[in-house]
Amino acid sequence: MIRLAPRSLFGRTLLVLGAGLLLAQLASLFINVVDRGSSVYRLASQQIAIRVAEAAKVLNHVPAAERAGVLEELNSRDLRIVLSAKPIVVPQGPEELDPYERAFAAAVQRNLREPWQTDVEITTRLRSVRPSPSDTEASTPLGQWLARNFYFLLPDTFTMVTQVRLVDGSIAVFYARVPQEPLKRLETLIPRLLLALLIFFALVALVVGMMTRPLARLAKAADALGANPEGPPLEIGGPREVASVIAAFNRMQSQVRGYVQERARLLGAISHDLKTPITRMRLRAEMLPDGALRDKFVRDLDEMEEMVGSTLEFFSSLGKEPERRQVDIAALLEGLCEDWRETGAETTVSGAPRSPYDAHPQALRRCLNNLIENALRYGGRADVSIEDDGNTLRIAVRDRGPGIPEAEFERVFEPFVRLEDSRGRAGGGAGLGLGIARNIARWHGGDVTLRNAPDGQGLIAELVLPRQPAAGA
Amino acid sequence: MEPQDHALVVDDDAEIRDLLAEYLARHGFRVSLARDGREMRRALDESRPDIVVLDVMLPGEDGLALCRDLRAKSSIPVIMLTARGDELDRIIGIEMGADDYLAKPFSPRELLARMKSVLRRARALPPTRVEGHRLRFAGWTLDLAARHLVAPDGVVVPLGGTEFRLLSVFVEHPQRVLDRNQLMDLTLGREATPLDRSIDVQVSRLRQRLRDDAREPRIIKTVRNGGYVLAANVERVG
Repeated sequence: MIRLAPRSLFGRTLLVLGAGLLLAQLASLFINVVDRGSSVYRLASQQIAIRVAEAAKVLNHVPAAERAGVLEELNSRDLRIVLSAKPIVVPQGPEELDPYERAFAAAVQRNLREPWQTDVEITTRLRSVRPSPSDTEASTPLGQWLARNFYFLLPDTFTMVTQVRLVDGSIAVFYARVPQEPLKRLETLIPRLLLALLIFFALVALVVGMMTRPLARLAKAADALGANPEGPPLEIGGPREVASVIAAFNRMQSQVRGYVQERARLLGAISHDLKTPITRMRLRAEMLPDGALRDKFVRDLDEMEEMVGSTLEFFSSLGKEPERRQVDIAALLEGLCEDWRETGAETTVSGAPRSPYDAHPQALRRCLNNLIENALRYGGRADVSIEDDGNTLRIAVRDRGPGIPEAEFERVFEPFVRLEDSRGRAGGGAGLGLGIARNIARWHGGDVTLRNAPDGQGLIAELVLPRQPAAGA
Repeated sequence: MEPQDHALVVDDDAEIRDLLAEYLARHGFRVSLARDGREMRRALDESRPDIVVLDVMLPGEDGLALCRDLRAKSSIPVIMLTARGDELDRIIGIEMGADDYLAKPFSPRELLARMKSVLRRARALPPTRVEGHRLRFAGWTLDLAARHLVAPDGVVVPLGGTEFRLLSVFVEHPQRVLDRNQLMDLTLGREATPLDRSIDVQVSRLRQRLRDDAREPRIIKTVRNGGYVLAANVERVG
């Protein structure tokens, strides 16, 4: 289904107000044309009735022989008079006179009563005629165009046919044109209506824009809050309702920030305080006489230390390096992989970036190292490939493990989540590596996503880094 | 067996102090202990240790100040220990003249290895003392704290661990011919076997990082039958 209603508040407000105005204008146009038009028309009819009566009086006094000459004088564009020996039959139309015709006849009669003294036989027929372009009085090209194309919107042009039996028994037929007042009005009304609509829309667009702009800013800020709760508070502005929403949002942001900081501080403090006892335990473990036992202790301590270390890192992986610098990504990856190869791990790097990338160097190194370490831990080896189309830098780290179910792709980024059942915990790890990597990627305006290799042999972790730094980052 | 090395351990945690003493003693060190700056000075007055293991967080005068103080008076190698494992500490530690830096909770084996390595370096080839953690040579800057290179055009070139250690050895001994054995020892902590080409491989990688032409290198030059030499002046920049 096609959606007709606009989605934005701006569009909707504009639509509602615009439709309201249009309806109001149409209603006033209707009143103008139908009601006022008809009263103007009635007034005009009275005038014509008087003219018809005056003409009939004149003809009554003029001898039949001179009437033709007088007719010349009396005929005009709006009133044509024909003399006839017997009544003519007006074609079309019902037998009954309609109220207009009756009113017209009565008006003629009223004005004739004086000289005749007795009732005069008058027949009037109002004949409706569709205007033809030449018929209309519209003088401007727009008026003619309207009359030609929209005649069905206009009231018909009328010719009032009045027959008066003169004293000598002959019949005078008066063809009187009823003015086309409503048409003229419509012609001037439409441009006025269009102009009013245009001005109105411009004003509404301005005002609604002023109201919705702070909301758009708010939405942007809410998005940014997710990525970085440390952002500056929003400037309070706009209408009172919007301003209070912004103020509420700022309060919420500061609460969220407080909460995040509190959580980080707490976990950081615990992790930090664990360092001294772990150091002691490491020393004690080293001095155990039983080699096998010692190794087990050392392994447990390694694991504990890693948890403590990565917890601290997780809460402080951002912000320590405010500067972004151009970094040689190929050198970074080759250095990392070489370090891993020295420990006996299998790692390769393929592909090359087009140019250095604008990064926080230490953070990006940590991010990539975490991805490689993860691949080695769970997938046996890490094959890194670099793709760069000039706009986006993509670094994929592929392992040769069994992969993970698609449903778990997002869950493994959560802190302390490890998929024990499918991958075992042979490698240990605190379950923070991917979360840290993603934090760092998002700090750079990018992201880390997981997918299984198309051939089902291994998991691919892809770091996507946009070349255009995110605004405000 | 080589004569016993004398280590001075300065830490305010009594248990860690005692445990370290016992551990190091088992691995052939003669150990003195100090709880804070005052005791450290007294111990230094009594004897001259070969190496100092110094905790950063000490009551009273902190480890960084003590390290700078010690460095001003003697060239005894110092390994700093800290519970704060962040970059800033490493920068400051290196600025204050520490030879190495280890974050708590450290592995005792790692500490032992670093102590031995620092001692070996101090004996085999006393490094040109540098203050500041950034060293500039031939337009390049080596950042000892961040462990990366900055190219003349400002691009950051991250280094792998071995690359970094090898380059550190070169910039600590500028314009001095280093043979393969010395480089192996200082970089990888082992002797080169007669057919071992790993140093050559590392040097060629390093030249690549430094955008140095392998056929006509300008920065790290090959000395026929000798080894390699960093053919550039090194200056300290903050």
